[in-house]
Amino acid sequence: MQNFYERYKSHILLKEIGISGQKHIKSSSVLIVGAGGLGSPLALYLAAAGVGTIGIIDFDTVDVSNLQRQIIYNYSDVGKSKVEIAKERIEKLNPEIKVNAYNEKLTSVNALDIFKNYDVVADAADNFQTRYLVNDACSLIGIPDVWASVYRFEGQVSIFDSKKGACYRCFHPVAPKHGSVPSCGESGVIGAITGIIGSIQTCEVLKIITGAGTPLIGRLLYFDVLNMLTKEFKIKKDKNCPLCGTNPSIKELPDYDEFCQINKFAENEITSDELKIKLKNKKNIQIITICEGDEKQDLVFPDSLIIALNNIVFLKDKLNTNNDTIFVCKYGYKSIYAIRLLQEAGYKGKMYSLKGGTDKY
Amino acid sequence: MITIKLNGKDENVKEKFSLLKLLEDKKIVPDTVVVALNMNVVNQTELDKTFLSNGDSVEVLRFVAGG
Repeated sequence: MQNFYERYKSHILLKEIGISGQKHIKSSSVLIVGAGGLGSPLALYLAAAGVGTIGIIDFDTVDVSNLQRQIIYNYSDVGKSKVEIAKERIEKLNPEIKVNAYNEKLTSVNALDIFKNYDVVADAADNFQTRYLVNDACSLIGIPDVWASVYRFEGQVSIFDSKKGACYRCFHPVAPKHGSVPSCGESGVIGAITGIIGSIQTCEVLKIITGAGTPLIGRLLYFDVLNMLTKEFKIKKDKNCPLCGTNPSIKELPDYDEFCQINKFAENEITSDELKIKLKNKKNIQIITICEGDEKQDLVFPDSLIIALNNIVFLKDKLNTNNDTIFVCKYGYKSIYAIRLLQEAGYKGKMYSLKGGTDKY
Repeated sequence: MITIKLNGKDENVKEKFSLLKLLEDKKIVPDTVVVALNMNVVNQTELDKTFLSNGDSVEVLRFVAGG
C-alpha cells in the first residue's frame, strides 16, 4: 500500500481526487476502442493513472506511417500486433494493473460481450461504423462513451451518455455516405493533435470515474491548433432518437456496414490488375480523375478528364453511356462517392471505381 | 436581406433562409458536417426547419471519425 501512496501522490494531493478517488481509479475498468493516435495517449495515461483494468481492442498491426503520431509504438514494432505491443508497454509502465488485449475487430456480434466488463468506454476508432457501434453498445448497456475524433489540425471531444444527455445519434443521426468524409490517412493529421485530444479524453474518463468536476456530457469541445482556438457547443438530447429517445426502435445492434452503406458499391470496384487488362484492350473506356487543386501534380492518368468532386454531377450529360467510365482518385473513396452521386443524378452508363486508388496502382 | 456570421465571417442571406438552404448554397453535403446555430448543435433532421435571423452565428464543423 505504501507504493500506492508514493506512486499516486500527485493525484492524492488533488482534493477532487484524493485517496478515495484514487481507490476508485484502481477499482475501475476502461475499454479503449482503437489503438491508434488517440488510443496511444489514452493507454499510456490511463495506465499511469492507475486504472485497475484496461482493455484495448484493435485488429491492426503497426505500420511505419503510424509512428508519426501513435506514440506507444517504436520503430522495432512495425509489423507486430498493436494491442499486444500496447499491452506489453503499459504493463511495464504499471505492473499493478490488468490489461486485456483484444486482437480482433469490434463487431455487432462481440461488442456487448466485451463492453459489459467495463465501466467506461473510450472511443478512439477511425471509422464511422465503429463510432455508431460503440455508441449503441454503450447506450444499450448503460455506460458512458467518451468520444473523440481528429482531422487535420482539429479535434473534437464529447461524452455520449444516454442516461444523462445526448448520445452520438442525437448528435449526428444520419451517417455520412461512404467516401464523402476522408480518413486521417487520406486527409492528413498533425501528429501532436492526437496527443492533445487523447489526453483530454483521458481527463474526461478519469473525471467520470472519480466524479471530479463537470464532465463533457451534452457538450462538444472543438479544438483547432492551426489557429489555436477552442469552441464549445451544446448538444441536445433528441426525443426522437431511435436509440435513446422516448420511443426507441434500436433494441439490438444493427449491421453497421449497411448503416454506413459500406458494401453497397462493391460491385463497382475494379482492381489495378483488372484495370490494366481493360486498358490493354482499349475499347470504349473513359477515365475520370477526381482530384482537388493541390493533388494535381502527381497524376497517374495525366490524359484523363480531371474534375473536382463538387462538379461531378455536371458529367451526367457529358459522358457517353455506351462507354465504361472508370473513376480514379488517390485512395479510392472519392471515386466511389462519385459513382453514387452520378447514380443518384440518374446516369445510366457503366461506372467503375479503382479499388485502393491511384496510390496502390 | 439579413446579415449572419458563418464561421466568423459576415454573410448576407435572404429572409426566411433555412440552414439547409445555406448549406446547399455553399455546396456543403449536410451529412458530412455538424451545424451549430448560436453555439447549439442543430439536429440534421431540423436543418430545413431552422430559419436564420439577423445577427445569428452559424458554425459548420466537419463531421469526422479519425482516431
